[in-house]
Amino acid sequence: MTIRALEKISVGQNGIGSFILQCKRLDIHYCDHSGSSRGMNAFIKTHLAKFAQTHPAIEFAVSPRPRKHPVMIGHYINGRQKSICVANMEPSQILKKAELLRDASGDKVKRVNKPVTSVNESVRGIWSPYHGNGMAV
Amino acid sequence: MRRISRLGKPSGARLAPTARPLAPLCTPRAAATRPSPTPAAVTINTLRFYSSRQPEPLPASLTSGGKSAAAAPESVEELAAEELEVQQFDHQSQQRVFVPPPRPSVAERADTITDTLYTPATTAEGLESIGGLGSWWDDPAHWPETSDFVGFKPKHKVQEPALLEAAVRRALTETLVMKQLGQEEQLTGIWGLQGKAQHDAVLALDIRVDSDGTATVTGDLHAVADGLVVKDGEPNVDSADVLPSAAEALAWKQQADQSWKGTSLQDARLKFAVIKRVMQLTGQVVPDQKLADIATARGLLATLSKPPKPKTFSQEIETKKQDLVALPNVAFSPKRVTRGHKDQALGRYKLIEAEFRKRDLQDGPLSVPKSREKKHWNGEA
Repeated sequence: MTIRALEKISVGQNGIGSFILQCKRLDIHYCDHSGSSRGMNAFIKTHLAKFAQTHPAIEFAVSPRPRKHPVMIGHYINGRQKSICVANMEPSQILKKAELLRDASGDKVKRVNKPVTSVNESVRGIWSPYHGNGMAV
Repeated sequence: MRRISRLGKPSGARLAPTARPLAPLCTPRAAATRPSPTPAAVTINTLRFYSSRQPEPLPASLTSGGKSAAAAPESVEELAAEELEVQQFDHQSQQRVFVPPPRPSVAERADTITDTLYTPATTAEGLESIGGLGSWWDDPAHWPETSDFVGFKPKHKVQEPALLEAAVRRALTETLVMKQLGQEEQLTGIWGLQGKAQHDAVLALDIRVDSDGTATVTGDLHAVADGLVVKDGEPNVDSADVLPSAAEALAWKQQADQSWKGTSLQDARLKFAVIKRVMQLTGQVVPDQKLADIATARGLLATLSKPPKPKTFSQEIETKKQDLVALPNVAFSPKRVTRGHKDQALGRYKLIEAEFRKRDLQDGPLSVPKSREKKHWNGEA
């Protein structure tokens, strides 16, 4: 009896069946005294508690970085990082940036110039020079 | 630079006739440096120096002989009156500590001069320059340091909770004593600052509070009331010497009965007197907008003993934003997170230390700052 591999029924995709947030950790750095951190400090005071509560899958590490601009750094499960400087921003703008980091996949930003992208393999398969009848040159 | 003159007298003070202000109004230095002529030594020159309400006598060439003769008997009486005025003025200037400049004198108008020889000047050339205060306020004898304003409120503000509690208890007791003795008019007056013995005596009095908040003080009320009267010739007591030390206040607080805090302060006169006394003892001012909310002594204490403002944003987050810090997915660090902290979190830190020790490269933990490491290298302690 020959052994046959299981046929692949579907390709695993994040969000189909279960969703795993790609952002695993968010570092939030501020300065106690600098004016550029005023918006960040207000964000920590007013928005961060609610944001952290609604995203239990993300670890938030809040710590000061004296004499530096405020920064948010997202760490992703693919091992990459994405950092955004939020100097002189309003709390609402910083909240938008936090949502951007949360929604990012962690991949490098790639240029998308095709109208349709799909994870499914082509129905026709991948062309191979060793298969088929060949072409008469 | 000319300075604005101020009086060394508590503002808004309604002193009793026998009362004395808190600051010494006449200092030996001021008395020594200021000219203080005795009544016998008062001359016309000194009179003119202090009072020049009357116009200066014109030169003989400008006055008619008959007029000056007529004015002579009148001027003797005026001089006698002025002499009395100067004596009073000198007494007042001893009470004050700065010497005011002489009053300005007004020259006779040119159109009222009857002398035919008088010719009004057309240019300023050759005329004597008169008027102005000159360097009056630059003379330290006119403006001694002791003449600086001394306020009712002490400069140092008491912040320790136990001391504040002791001060409020003392102020409340004294106010209740004055009220019980029927000296209600003294509730708005200035009370003297006595030493620690008086403080202990006031706190030793017992306060019984009824269910409606009415308080009754029992003990030697008259001794306390006598201590509040400001007497002449008493040495000036600094408010810092009135209250006990923080440790003593804490010891008193731990063994004291706390029922006095329920005393009602709904009576506006009572509340005013207590807050005024607390301000005098501690330098703490209750803002106007919070006055209406204070109904009991406990409320007054809560208003006074508010926690100090956090120095940094990190401290504020740690103390006030517990809803954020307590979240399970939030790690808050009040200090900068360094590489060493990250290694510690991973458990790598002790391995690094052990490897360093094996190679005799690092003596002591890695957490020692670089600056101290440098000191060790240089053989310093």
